[in-house]
Amino acid sequence: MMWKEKYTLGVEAIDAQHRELFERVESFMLVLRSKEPWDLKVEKVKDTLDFMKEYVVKHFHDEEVYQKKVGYPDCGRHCEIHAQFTAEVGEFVKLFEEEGYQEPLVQKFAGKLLAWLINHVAATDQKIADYVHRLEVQA
Amino acid sequence: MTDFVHPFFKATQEVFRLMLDLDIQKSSGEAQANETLDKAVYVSIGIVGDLEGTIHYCFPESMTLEMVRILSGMEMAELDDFVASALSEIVNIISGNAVTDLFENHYTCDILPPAVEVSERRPEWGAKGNVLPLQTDIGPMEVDIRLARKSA
Repeated sequence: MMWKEKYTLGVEAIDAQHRELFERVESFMLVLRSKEPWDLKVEKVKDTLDFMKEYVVKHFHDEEVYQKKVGYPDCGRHCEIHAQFTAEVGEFVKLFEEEGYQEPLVQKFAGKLLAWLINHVAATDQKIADYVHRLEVQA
Repeated sequence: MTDFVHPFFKATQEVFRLMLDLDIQKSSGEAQANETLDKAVYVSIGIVGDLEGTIHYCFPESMTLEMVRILSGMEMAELDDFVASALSEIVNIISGNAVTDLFENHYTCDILPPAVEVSERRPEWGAKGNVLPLQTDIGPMEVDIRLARKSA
């Protein structure tokens, strides 16, 4: 299982979206890594990618709104990281559309997505939780 | 004189702790010589800016598969595109964090996309650089830091 309790930020709405993202990525990977022929799993892969494209944008937006609401001082840099990743996903999507959903390319995308998401939630997003916790202690 | 090795050690340690729940220690390097003789994954990442050069990371095959298993929760049987890509991203994150640390020491640098190579034999290793031998609970790894100040 990909999700670990240590990823919890303590912000209910953001944590719920993170869990949803992890569940979707995990189910995407289970399909992708299964031994079934590529022809049989490519449609499921496409559906999941379509969902991810929309959900990641919504999640990034909601998280950025929250950062602004709490006055997170590193919000600008965090938004840049979101924008960079969105652009990288966009490049993969463009390649999928131009070259077709070739298995090696989708596997490459999935490997990057896995490591990026875990680092982002375990390290980058935790800094927001640390900031909010410091505010609560000072209050 | 700025130590160019420490930011990479610190970043590797931090990323392994946060992403993989693994501690990393510096080692003598003797222990890993045999393990990295077998099939290993070499990830190289270029650095440009005030400092120029390449950082090479070497992971034994078994360690690479275990790292991706820890991340994904799924058993990994072979070094395929998925595994190579996940490992590349980990190296990308480590190197990016190290470059951020260097920036705090007044060196403005950027990283280039990583390149992955799986090799059956240990290539010439560390002849010109600063090799950092590291030990984790899932195996040894090495980071070879080949950096120099950009010539004027």
